Amino acid sequence: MKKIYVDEDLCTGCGICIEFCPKKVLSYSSQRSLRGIYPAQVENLEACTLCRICEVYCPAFSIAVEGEKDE
Amino acid sequence: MNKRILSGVHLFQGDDACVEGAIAAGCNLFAGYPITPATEISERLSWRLFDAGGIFVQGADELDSLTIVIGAACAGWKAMTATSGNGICLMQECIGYAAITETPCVIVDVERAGPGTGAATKTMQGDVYQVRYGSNADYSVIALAPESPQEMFDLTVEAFNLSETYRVPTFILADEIVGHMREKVLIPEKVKIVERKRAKVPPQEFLPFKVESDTDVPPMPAFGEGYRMPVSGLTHTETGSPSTDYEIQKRMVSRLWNKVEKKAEQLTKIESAYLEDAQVVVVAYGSVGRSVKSAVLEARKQGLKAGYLRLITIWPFPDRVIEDIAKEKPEAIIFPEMNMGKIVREVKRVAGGRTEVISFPKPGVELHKPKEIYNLIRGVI
Amino acid sequence: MKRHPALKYFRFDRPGNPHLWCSGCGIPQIWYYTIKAIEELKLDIDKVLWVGGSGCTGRMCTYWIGDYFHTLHGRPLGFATGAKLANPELTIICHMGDGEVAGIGGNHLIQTARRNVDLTAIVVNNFNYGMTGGQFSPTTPRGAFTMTSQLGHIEYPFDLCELGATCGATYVARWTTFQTRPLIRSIKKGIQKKGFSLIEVISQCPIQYGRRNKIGNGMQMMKWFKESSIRKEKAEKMSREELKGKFIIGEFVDIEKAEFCTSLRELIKKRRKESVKN
Repeated sequence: MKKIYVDEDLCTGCGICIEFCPKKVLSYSSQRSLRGIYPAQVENLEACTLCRICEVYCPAFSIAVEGEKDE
Repeated sequence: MNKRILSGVHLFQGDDACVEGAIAAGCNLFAGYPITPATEISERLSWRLFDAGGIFVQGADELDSLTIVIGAACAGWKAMTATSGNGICLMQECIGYAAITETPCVIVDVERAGPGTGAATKTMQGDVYQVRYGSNADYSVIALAPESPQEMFDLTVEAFNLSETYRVPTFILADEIVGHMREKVLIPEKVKIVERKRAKVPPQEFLPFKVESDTDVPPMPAFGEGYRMPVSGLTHTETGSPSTDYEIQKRMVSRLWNKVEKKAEQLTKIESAYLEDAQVVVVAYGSVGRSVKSAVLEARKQGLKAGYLRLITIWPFPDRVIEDIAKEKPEAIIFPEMNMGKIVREVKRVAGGRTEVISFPKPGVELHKPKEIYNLIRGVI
Repeated sequence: MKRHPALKYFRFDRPGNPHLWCSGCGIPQIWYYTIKAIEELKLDIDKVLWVGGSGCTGRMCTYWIGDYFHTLHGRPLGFATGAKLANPELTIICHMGDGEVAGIGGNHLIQTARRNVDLTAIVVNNFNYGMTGGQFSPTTPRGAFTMTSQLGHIEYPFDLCELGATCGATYVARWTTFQTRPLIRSIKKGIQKKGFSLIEVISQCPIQYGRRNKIGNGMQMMKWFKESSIRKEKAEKMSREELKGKFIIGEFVDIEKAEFCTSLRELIKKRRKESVKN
């Protein structure tokens, strides 16, 4: 069961996960968060291959991927 | 044969006696840089410490040396360095770091003539304020001044014990004469050793800087024992978290200061004689004490009511002892020092004008002769 | 809500939410890469000591859940050497900034490498002193703009990997924050190497360096790293002109030689044998 969580309390909207996701799973939200920025959001969960590049690159420790590759 | 305690009677140079004191006290690591007149300490430790199962490192410079000492102390060992006045200058940042992290360490300062490079092979008592106030901002240290190779042994052991008890950088202020003179040193069979406080609760319940009062010293687990120690030079709370809050700063700095300063009386070590009816009291520390004792004994022979006080603990300054003398309002307190007159200021402060305080400065190279001190005593009485 | 895996090893009672680094900064990325190396090697958390100095990189150790040693500017390597001598079972990882390791800490770097002390030094090279506002450092390239080279920088920078290699480091590598897997592999290798390991990580400082040199934000700087990184094997065949402004990445040194703490402990054994003979 794959799922991607973005913690809007921590996300700073740096855009690194959005830019480097090889499958364009993520995009900028159109709603500002309480931090005053546009956080990342899951646009296309289907395309996600659980590579976890978003997780490994996130400087704010605000994104988490659930699910294992062999499921 | 106990590798650590070389019991017996020896003819030792002050520097060598200091080495034996350190090893007997449980020193496991020494890191030092060659500097006259403390080099002999490094040289003897470079083989003797391995004998005792410890490690000697020659630092790349003085501050490399003190960083290695502090690192080893935080990982659980007793550690020491030795240098002279100009080396202490280089170590000041690390001394402040040891003070705020409350890391036990012993720093031997075999004082030489200065300022600057000065006269490396000549004596002086120039660093008495530097070791106390040399680093930035407020903290406390303990400093002991030996007058003989025997005291170099005894006080080095004491310095380790005090350092572990109070968790402060502890200094041995030995002027070059004491460092290089050779005298009989008696090393006993057993030596009293104090270990740092261990944590009484398991890691989950442990708060690294939690204390009961503002003179309390917290226990100190080492790295790798499972206590996940947060060691940092930043102002910190009782959990080790950095803070810029006034109350936290005040609480931390007050305790770093008070844990030693408020225990000044307990920490006071002196040698004195003929004080009860003294009209003139001669105060001194280090090798000057030897000339003072000669002079006072001669004075007494001539019927002059002179007494002497030799300070062994320089810091925290023994206010109480000076207060007790000043209260009796002697004619004068004479204070010969091998500097421009430094600790005499502390005496003047405590005496508060109740008695005349005469400084007798000889700013390096030459020790006061007993005759010079005797003449001064004569001049007063 | 599932939390980011890094937070399992994180101290929350520290400045920031969750930490004090700027949006897009490379330092928290390197923080997590270090965690991954520790996890993949299955190290005992209670035996891993993180050492830091000053500045933004210096703060890395203060968020680590295990023992940490937040020391003086430029001097993590000295303190780390002392700790390793007293407890050789500790795995010690030192994170240092470029200014810290090559400027004020220059002597500690060359001595620790020369002695070959068993430590892993991860140098975060973001080409400036970030925390104090973006002044130039000993790795700032010629011509760059910083708060203290506002007319263009005229000094020459160090090549930290060459410096480490010359001084005797037994493992030297350089990667950027973009090359995650090779970097994690190098950190693991550095940890496992019984000797001094130096891993330079080219990292983005978007708010100071990136902004002043018009490179962009964290994401744009990482794209720049991706485009400007040339593998060592490929770089060997290229001219100096072609390599201008590029980052040569890869492993440069991987050798074995006697380690400092071990050699010193041998001397204890040596003395013991000699005294038994007597």
